[in-house]
Amino acid sequence: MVDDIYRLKSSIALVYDDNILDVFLSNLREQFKIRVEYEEILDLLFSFDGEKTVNDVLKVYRNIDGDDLFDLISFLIKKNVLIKVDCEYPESFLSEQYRLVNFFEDYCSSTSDVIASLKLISTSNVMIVGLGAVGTWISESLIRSGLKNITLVDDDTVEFSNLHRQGMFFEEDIDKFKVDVLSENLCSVFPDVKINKIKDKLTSEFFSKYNDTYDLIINCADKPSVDETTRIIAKFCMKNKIPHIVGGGYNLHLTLIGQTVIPNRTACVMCFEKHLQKINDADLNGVKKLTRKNRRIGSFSPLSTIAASLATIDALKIVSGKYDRISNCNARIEFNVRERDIDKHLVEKNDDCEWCGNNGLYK
Amino acid sequence: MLAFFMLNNKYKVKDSVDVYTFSTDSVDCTRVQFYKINTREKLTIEIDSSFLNILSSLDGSLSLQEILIKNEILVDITEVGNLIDYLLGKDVIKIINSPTYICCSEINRYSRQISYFDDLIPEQEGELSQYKLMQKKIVIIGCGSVGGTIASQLVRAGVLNITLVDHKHINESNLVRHIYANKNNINTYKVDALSEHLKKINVKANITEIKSKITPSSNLDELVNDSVDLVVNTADEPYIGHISVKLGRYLWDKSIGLYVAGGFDAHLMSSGELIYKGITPCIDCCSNTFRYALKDWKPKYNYNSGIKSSSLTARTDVLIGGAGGTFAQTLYSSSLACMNIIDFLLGNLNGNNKVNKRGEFLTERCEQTWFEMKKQKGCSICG
Ligand SMILES: [Zn+2]
Ligand SMILES: [Zn+2]
Repeated sequence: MVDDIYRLKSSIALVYDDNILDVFLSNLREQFKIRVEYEEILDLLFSFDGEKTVNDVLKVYRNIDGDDLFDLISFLIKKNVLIKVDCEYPESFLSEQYRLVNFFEDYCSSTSDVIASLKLISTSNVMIVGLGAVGTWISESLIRSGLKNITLVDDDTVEFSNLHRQGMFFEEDIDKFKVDVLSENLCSVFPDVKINKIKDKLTSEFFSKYNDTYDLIINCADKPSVDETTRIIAKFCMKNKIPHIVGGGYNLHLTLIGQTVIPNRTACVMCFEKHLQKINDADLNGVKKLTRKNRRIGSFSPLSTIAASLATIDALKIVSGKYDRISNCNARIEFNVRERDIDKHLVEKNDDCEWCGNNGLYK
Repeated sequence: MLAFFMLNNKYKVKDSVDVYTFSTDSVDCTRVQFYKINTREKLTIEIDSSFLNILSSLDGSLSLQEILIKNEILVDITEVGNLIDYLLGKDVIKIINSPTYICCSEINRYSRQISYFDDLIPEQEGELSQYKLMQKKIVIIGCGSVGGTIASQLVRAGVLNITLVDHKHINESNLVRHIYANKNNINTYKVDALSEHLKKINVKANITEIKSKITPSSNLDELVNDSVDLVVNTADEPYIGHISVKLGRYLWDKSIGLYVAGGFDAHLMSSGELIYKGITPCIDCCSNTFRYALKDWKPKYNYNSGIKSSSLTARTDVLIGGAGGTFAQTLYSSSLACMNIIDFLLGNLNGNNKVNKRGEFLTERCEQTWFEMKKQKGCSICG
C-alpha cells in the first residue's frame, strides 16, 4: 500500500471538530461521522492529491502510525471518499465525459474501475420494450450516459397526442415509426451508437424470434397490459439470467418506479405478484368492475419522467456491474404526487417462490 | 328534480373514478362503489339495478336523453335526476360542455394531460387549465442542462411563450446532459439551439432568445415586462446566490413568481423552490433559512486535487472528482420543478403541501427529503 496513490475527491466536504471527522459526499448527499484522534487529519487527507504516494504522505506526517493510516485509507475507499489513482483518464473522458467520470467516482474504488465501468456501459446491449412516456426518456438518458448498443422495440407510429409526454418525438415525426424516429434522434447525439430496431409486438413468441444476448431488458410496454408484457419479459430474463427492470410508469394516481430484478439475487416478478395478490385479494373479494367505454386515462409527463429517471440510474449501475448499489429492488416504490414523496413497500425474495425459490423453475 | 336542461346535458363519470358493483340480496338492487383513485375516497350507494346501464353509458358522448332512449330505459325520470344531482355533488361525475377554450386538434394533442388536470384541479375543467397554461409567459435564465430540460418539458406540456437567456455556446461535454445538444449544434449559442428544439416540439412556440449574462448590475426592466408570470433562474450558485436575491426582490414587488431551480453541484436531484408574494417566504428569508441552517457547518474541500488543465481543450471547468451528474438526474430535478411550476401557473398552490420546501432526492436510499423555507422573525417584507 505504501507505493499506492490516492486522491481525496474535491466533491467531499470535511469538517473536523472535537476529534470527530464529519464527511459529506456532496454528489450523493450521504453523510457520516467517525472518531479520529489526530489534530492534523484534514491536512493529511488533503495531501492525497492524486500524485503523492502513501509513503510520501507518511514522510510528512511522521507522528501517525502506518497501520492506523492504512486502516483509515481502506475505510475511506469503501466509503467512496478516497479513490485509488492507478491510471490516468484518457483525454476524451476529460473533455467530453467528465461529469460521468465524476458520477462513477462515487461508485468505484479506483480510477481503473471508473474506466472499466464506462467501458462496460459502452459495450453492453440494453433492450427497451415500449417507446412511450417512460421508454423514450430512458433511451435518451442511457445513450447520453455512454450506452452504445441499444435494442428498441415498438410497432407503433408517432401520434400527435404522444408529443406532450414522450421524449425525442417532434411534430415533423408524426406518422413515422417510433423506432425509426428515436434511432435517428439518438444517432444525432452520438453517431457511433448502434441501434437494433424491432417493429414488432411483444407476444409470447417474441423471444424465439429475437433471442440475442442482452445485458439488461427494460419493460416500458403496457399493451395489452403491463402485467402481461412484464411476465413475457421476466420469464425470458429469469431463464437466461438477465437483469431486468419492469413495471414503471404513471398509473392514474401514482407513479410506480419500476422494480429492478437481478435473477436469483433479488425478489423476482413472481415474488412481487404473489405478495401483491395477498393484499389485493383481501380488498376485492367478489367485486366486479363496471364496463365503461371512452375512459381517457390521465397522464402527466413529469410523473413518467420521474419513473424514467430512477430506472435509468439503476440501469447504469447494472450495466456497469455495480449490483450492490442498486436501489429499486426488493420493494414496490411509488412516487406520490400530492405529497411529492416516495413510498416504499418492502417485498422480500421468497424462498417458496415458484420461479426463484429453493425449488423454483428458474433456480 | 329533473329539470328539462338536465336531459340535454352530457355527463361523464370522471376518468379518475373507478366504479365497482356488488350484488345484494335483492336482484333489483345493486350496491355501487365509486373509488376516487387520487384521493382514495370511497363512496358507496345502492341503486335500482336498471340504473347500471345509465351509469356505464355516462362517458360524455351522449346526452342523458339519448342514453335513456338508446338503452330503452324505462325508469322514473325524477329518480334519475336525483341520482345525477347527487353524483355531481359528490364530484364523481361531471358535465361535459362543448369545448370553447381550445380547438379540437389541441384537445387531441393534450388529451391525456387534460384528463390529468381534471383531477388535479377538480373545480376547474381540464380544458380550461390547458388553455390557461398556453397563455402563460415565462422567462428562463440559464439554458444549461436543467434550464434546457425544464424548457423542453414545459413546451411539451403546452407552455408556449418563453424568453431564454444565456450567453454560452454548446461544447462537447454538454452532450451528456443537455436535452437539446447534438453533434450538429456544437459551438452554436445555447439559446439558439434550445429555441430550435422547442419549435420542433411545437411550431407555435413563441421563443425569444437573449444572448447575455445576468450580473448584479443588469437592468431587469429590459428582461422582465409586467406580462411575465414566472421567471425561472437556473444560473446560480448553491443555495440562494446574489442573482436570485436580486431577482427575488425585484419580482416580489411586481407579484411575479420566481422559481430557483436545482440540479447543480450538491443538488443534482433537487426540486428548487418557488418564491411568490403572499404564498411563500420572501427571497431574503429563504436565503437566511439556509444561512442559519448551515451556520455551524463550515466544511473544507480538497483543492489540491482534481483540477485538470487540459492541453487539448484548454477548458477550465473540468474538475475531476468534483460535481457529477447524468441526464437522468437532471431529468429528476427538472420533473419536480415542472410539477411545481405547472401548479403555480395554474394557481393550484394548495395542490401540494411542499410549496414552501426544497426537495432533495437521495439516490442511494431512494428517499425524497424536503427542507422547509421559513419566514424569519421581524421580516418587514413577508413577515
Ligand atoms: Zn421469486
Ligand atoms: Zn421575508
